[in-house]
Parts: sequence; structure tokens; C-alpha cells
Amino acid sequence: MPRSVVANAAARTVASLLGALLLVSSAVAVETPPPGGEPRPFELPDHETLKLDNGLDVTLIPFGRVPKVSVVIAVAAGNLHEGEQTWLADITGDLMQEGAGGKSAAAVAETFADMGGALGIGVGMERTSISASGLAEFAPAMVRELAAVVMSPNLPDDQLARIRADRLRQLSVSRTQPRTQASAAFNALLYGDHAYGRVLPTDEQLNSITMDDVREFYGSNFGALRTRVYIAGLFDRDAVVDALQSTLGTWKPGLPPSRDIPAMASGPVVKLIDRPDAPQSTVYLGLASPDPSQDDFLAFSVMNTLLGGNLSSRLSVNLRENKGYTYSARSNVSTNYRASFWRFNSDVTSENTGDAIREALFEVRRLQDEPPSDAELTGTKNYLAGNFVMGNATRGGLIGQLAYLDYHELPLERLTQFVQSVHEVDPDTISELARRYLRPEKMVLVVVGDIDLVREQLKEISEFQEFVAD
Amino acid sequence: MRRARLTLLLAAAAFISACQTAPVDEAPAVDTGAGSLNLPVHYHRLDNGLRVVISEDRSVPVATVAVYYQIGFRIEPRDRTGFAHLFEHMMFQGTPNLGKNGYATLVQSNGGTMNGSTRFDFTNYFAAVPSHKVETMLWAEADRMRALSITGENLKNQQEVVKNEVRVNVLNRPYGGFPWLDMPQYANENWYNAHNFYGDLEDVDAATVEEMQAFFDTYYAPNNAVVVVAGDVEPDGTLKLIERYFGNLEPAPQGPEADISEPPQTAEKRFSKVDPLAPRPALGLAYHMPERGSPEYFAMILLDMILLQGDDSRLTRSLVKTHGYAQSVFGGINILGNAYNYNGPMLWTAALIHDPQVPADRIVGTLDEEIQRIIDDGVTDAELARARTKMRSGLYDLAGSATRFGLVDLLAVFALFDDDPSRINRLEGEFSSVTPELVRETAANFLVPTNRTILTVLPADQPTDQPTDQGDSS
Repeated sequence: MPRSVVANAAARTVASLLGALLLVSSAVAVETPPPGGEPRPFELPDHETLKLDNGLDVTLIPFGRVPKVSVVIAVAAGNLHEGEQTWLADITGDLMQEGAGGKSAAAVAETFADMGGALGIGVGMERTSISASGLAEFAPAMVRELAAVVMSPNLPDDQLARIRADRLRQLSVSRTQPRTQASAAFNALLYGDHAYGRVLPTDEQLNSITMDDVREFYGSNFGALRTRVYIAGLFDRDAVVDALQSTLGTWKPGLPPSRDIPAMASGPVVKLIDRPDAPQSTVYLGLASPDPSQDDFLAFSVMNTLLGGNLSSRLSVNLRENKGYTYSARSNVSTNYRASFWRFNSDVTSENTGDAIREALFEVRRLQDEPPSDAELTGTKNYLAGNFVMGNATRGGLIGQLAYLDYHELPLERLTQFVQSVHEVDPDTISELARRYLRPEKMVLVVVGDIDLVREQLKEISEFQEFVAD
Repeated sequence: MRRARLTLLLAAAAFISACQTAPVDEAPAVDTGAGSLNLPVHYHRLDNGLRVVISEDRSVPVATVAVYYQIGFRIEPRDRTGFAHLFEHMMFQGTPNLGKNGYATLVQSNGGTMNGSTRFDFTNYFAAVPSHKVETMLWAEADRMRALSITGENLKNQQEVVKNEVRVNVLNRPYGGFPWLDMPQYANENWYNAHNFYGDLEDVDAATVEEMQAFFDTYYAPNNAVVVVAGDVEPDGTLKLIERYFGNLEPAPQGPEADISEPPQTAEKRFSKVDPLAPRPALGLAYHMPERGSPEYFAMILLDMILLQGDDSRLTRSLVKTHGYAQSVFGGINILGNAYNYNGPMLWTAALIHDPQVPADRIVGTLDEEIQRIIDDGVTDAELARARTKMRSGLYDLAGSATRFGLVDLLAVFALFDDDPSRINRLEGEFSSVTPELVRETAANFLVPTNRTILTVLPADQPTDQPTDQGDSS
């Protein structure tokens, strides 16, 4: 131990001892943080929306001080549209990386790199996003290159075997990750046979996918009517609009978007997944909750943040900072279209699995029984308001916020009035929403862990004991 | 050397002010004409040795406050692996003024977001807050630099939390610790660089309150730290606030500097480890980096971009796209950070997860062919230009970030390691002298088998036709 400090260390120790003594005898001498100044106003940057002749939507967001631009082409084609062939949308996305408009994959990759960016293709439940972020001077060129990828991908036959092997390897790894195991089981319980409930395919499903399936999926799901382009950053507006019209503006309209809304199951139901000798249990506990189109969604989000949204929230303070059961204890709201859920999740020491679930339920009930103090609720509101400003202070953040509105078909007021709406939520409403929605008797519980160790612990939790079979 | 320089500067003890630019409100962060970064950087040193960097940008009402201490896991106490990181947790456990959880609650209830991290050569604490709360955050950082509530109860609690952190990030997942935690332990020889810096669980348990207090008293002193404030602030007023809250903190003498040098490697090293949770084998390769700041170091940063970063990179083209060995090949320089934020021996690492039918040696052979191609034929001007473009684009994003955590990171480490935070504006220029020939020479001198360690990860049930273990793990 390096211990070369003498005088100063002693002085500091005296200071901290004094501090401790003063804390015990009186709170008067404790220094309090300065409150800071007055908040500076923040206004959401303006944006412009266009509809091209073929029905394709465009959102332009001039923004920022650095010469960069982000372009996202969002197509309403995702896992939701792949039928029984789980990950067909992902494999299609992989193949769209393999060259476009006659250019090889290598040439496409170099083109994007020369613009200071990279082609990204992300496949989600509802959408495939084809995107790049690069130097602003290349904005029109970036639009043209991305348009080629989305409108005329090469989809080469000879790359399918390699891509399938990569996905099979990825799948084998996913199946050994406790959080993926828990998430797949949780979604399957909540959404049943719906696409939202099918997180992982089987090897057989992946092996059965052919190039014909990929072309069919691409052909019937990609088109102008399902697409919105978001462009944020510093860019030449007219040049970018010209580039859009001469490329994506000429695309076939295709089919309009379709969305299949699932019925959601409710508990109580328990699923135990054995992971012999695991040092931790991965606990997922939750149920259906209000979705963003509902009036009480915003207040519900405030409630969730206070309960488990950050390091100073109740679940984190209890399970981590007081009990030491876990590194992280959080709750969150997942917003699949018209099919949201609330979920507590934590990886907890195996020996404390039952204790951790009990404490999580205790915090839920405490919130139901007692409205939070004004001070605590104000802190939560400030956190949401402050993070809202930060979330709207980058190109990617702005695109994300506007895409969220489009995705859930919400009015712009959701953003412009966000801070004010958050501040209107009162403590009684928080408790009322916890009572209405966080009903332990309806919850779905998934535990991935050493079941021999965990089973007996779960039998001591009244809500779930009768559902834990031997 | 680091300590010696610090002492010298302390002796000078003058109030050094080095404003590099005269910033104008709403000026672009980038000189678009010259196409290079031109951020305002105000650099000062208080009488107690505390370094201060302020960089204003009034575009959005958000500011970032960061404190970097020049104590990383590299030089933590020898019989206490994971100590520096465990200590980082204690910095969130309250002070005589702010109770347990007080810091996190203060930041979050004021609308901010925060974290801390422990790295090779520093431990950092950073918060992005609505800009009218900067004074509150400066008070809070000074408060915990002054005194911490290092109690037995708090320590016991965080020992449990940290052990759970290691379990979730390493022990209970496939490829846990591969390659970021494993590779330094196999590739390095000097304990400082080669120990388990997340911590053996027994070592985490063994830490005492007295050891924690002594560590705090030595390293968490103003003369071993830099405060960075970036974003929507006025520089002169912010400096006055920093003087008010930090100016009366006492400096602490620093111990003798540790010898963190690595002996030159003369032969290839190969190791394998069994990972019972891994379903497929994995392969990692690590090469010792050229010395930080040398011409070869800058060439190696560009080589990393040419070889490993992005879909256009040579190893991605070859190992992933052409040969189909893996879904991706990943890694880089200082994979726990970046090419700039370390100050000692470092590795360039490449890693992938592959199928058991493909022997690791075949993949190593393909990688060697790619490197040999650079040694034989060099790289093209277009490739070098592309690597520079990628770097420039990435630098702009530092300035355009909402939290500015990447920006304050570079300002902080350039202040701590180079005494020159305005280096951020010259970073692009530092690469201008890198020629294709220097890139070729750097590959020929550093990307050779004798300078590397190969680590294979084997699933529990896999027959071992892999390279055999030629030594112990540290």
C-alpha cells in the first residue's frame, strides 16, 4: 500500500471525523449544495416534413454546429412481417449489406467510409433502418447511396450460406446468455405465438430460409408507402431534396404498412430456466402496461422512473445500495406498438433470489400504499426533463424522438409539451397508477438460474408459491 | 517521469493560464474552411496543483462536469486486485455533507445523468446536467474530493455490489472477460499490466476501510486530478467557481512512481482457456503497441482503422466476408477505451468467435497473409485518406455529443498525460506526417508473431486440436 502521505492525511482524517461528529450532534454545520441558477430555455429545433409523389415521407431536421449529417431510411418491414420464418427479416437485412445497384459489397463499404461514415442496417420488430452518418458535405451523395441499398440491393445468392452460418453461430451464443434466455421466455409468455413472442428462431428455421424467401420478403415489404426518411444535421436542403426526388421519389409505392396487434397474456405464471451452478439468477418480472397512445402513459413513465428508472430510484437503492444483492436493479417500459409492458429486471446473487423478488414486490406495494413525497417526485420530474433536453440535443436523438412519434402515431405536442406534462403529474396519481397497473397477481416471472437453489426460495413468495412446481 | 514533471510544475506554483483561443458565442465548433476541429480550450492550474479545463459551447443548455484522477487499476495495490475499481464505487457512497446515495440523487434530481469508470491510468467521474446546475455539481465534486464516508457498512455493501458486477459481466456469461479482461493478463509480463484488474473476488472481499482511506488520501488529491467543464458555461465565471470550491483543498505528496514498463517480447506466446459457458471457440490476438506519441504510434492508429475498423477494413473483408470465419472481427487499441486515453504499455487486439470446424491456426494464417500484404505492398494513398476521413468524422462527433463524455475524456487525458488539453485541436495534424512507408514499416516491426500473444477460448466439450498452453496465465 503506498502510504507516503502524513500531514495531509491526518488533517483530512480530522476533518472527516469532525464531519461525522457534527452529523451526530447536529445537522446545522452540514454544508448543503448550492441550488444553481435559473434554467435557460430550450426549444425543440424545427423540422420540415415532405411527402414525395410516390407517397414516401421525408423529415428534414436542420441542426447542429458540427459539419455532420445523419440519414435514416426507416422501412416498415421487420420481424412482425416475416410470418413463421423467425429472423427472415434479419437475414434479408444482412444480404442488403452485400452490395447494391451492381456495386460490390466492398465498393459500397468504401464509398461510405470515404464519406466519413458506414452503412448500418438495423432490423427490429416493426422496421428495418438503413442508415449512415458522415461528413455534411456528402449529404446528397449519402442519400443516393442509401437509396441504392434500399431500392436495388444485389441480394447475391452466393452469400446466403455464409450469412446463415454466422446467424447460427450467433444463435448458439444467444442461447447461452442468461438475459437473452430470460427475455425470450418472458416475451413468449406475454405474447404467445405472435412475432413479439418469438425472440429466437430454431436452427431448423434458419436452415430452411432460401433466397426465394428473402426476395419474396424484400419484394412484398419494401416500398415507398412503407418508408420515411429522416435527415438531421448541417446539409444543403435543396440538394438533398433533389437527391431524394431523383432516387427514392421514383421508387414503386408497394403495399401500405400493416401491423398485427397481439393479445397479451397475464399471470400469475412462473417460468424457471435451469442454469446449473450459476452464481446469479436473472430475474424478469412484469406485465402488460399502458402504451404510448394512452392518456396515462406519460404519468406511468414518471412512476416507472421513480420506482426503477435510474441509480437513485427505489428499486436500485433498495436492492443494490442497501442489500447488495445485485449490480443493477431497474424497471423499464417496453413500447411495442399498442402492446407495451412494464418489467423489473435484475441479476441477483443466487442465494438472494427470493429475497430480491420479495423486495421488488415490497417496493411496488409501498408505492401503491403511500404517494411519494413532493421532493422525491420533483427530483424524478427534473431527471426526466433534463434528460429530455439531452435526448433532443443530438442528430440521432432528434431523429429517434420524431421517429417514435411517427411509429406510435402521436401528435408533435407529445414532444413540445413533454416537460410541462411531466411537471403536472401529482403524487396521488403515481400511487393510483401503481395500484391500477402493477398488480403482482397478474405478473409474469422468469428466473434463469440454478433452479435447485432457487426453487425453495421461490416457494416462500406468496404470489408465486403455488406456481412453482417441483 | 510523470510524477517528476508534476513536482516541477507544483514548485513553479504559479497560476498558469493558457487560453488557446478567443471563443465567440455560437461560433461553429469546426472551422469548416480548414475542415478541422477548433474548440475553445481554457487551461489553468490552481495553486494546489488542480488542473482545470473549460470548453464552452452555448448551443444547448447542457454542461458536463468531469473529474479525472490520475490513478488507474494498473498501479493499484499488489495484493488487492480490483481495488481501484472498488474504490470508484466508494466515491458514490456519500460524504459527511451528502448522505449515502446523496451524489447520485443530487445529479439525477437536478436533471442530470452521471457515471464513473476505472481504466488503466485514471479513474473518472462525470455528469451532464442542465447548465444552470454546474455550480451544484462543482460543489459536489469538491465535496467528495475533500472527504468521503468510508464506513465499514458502505464498504461491505459495495463489496457485494462489485462482486455482483463481476458475476454479471464475467462469470455468468459466455466469453465473459474475453478478450478485454483476459488478454492483458496473458500478453503482459509486468504485474502492473498483467493482473486481473476487475479483481479476484477474495481480493475484493479483503479490502479494508483503512486501506480505502489511505488510497483516498493519497490519490484523490487536487494535485493528482483535473476538472473539466464543457458546454453551456461562461469560462471566467466557471473558473471562479472552481477556485471557490476546490481552491482550499490541500495537495497530497505522491509516492514514488511505479515501474510499469513491459520487457520487450521476443517470442510468440500462445495460451488457451476453457470457457464452460461458451458454445463455440473464440480466438484473440494481441500485439504490443508502439510507445504512445511516437511516429509509429500514430501509424498504428491508422493501421487499426485500415485493418480492423469498419466494413471496409481489410480483416473484415478477409476473415468475415471472404472466408466466413466469423460474423465480425472486433477489437482495437486499448479496447477498454480508445487510442488516446492511456499512458503506459498497451495492446492492439483483434478477436472473433468461430466454428469448431475451422482450426484457429487457419484463421491466424489468413490474418498473417493480410498483414504480410501490407508489409510487402504497403497501403494505398486512398486507404490512408479514408482512415483520416474516418478519424475526422469521429472527432466531430465528440464536439456534437449531448453529454460530451467523449470530449471531456480527451480534454482530461491530454491535460493529465500531456499537460496540454488543446492537443485535441491538433490531433488531426499529428497524423499528417504518417506516410504509407511509415505504415508499412510499423506493420513490419510491430505486427509480427514475436510481438504477439494468441489466446484461444475452448468450449468445455471440445476436443483440443488447438494451440497448446505454453505457460501459466500471468
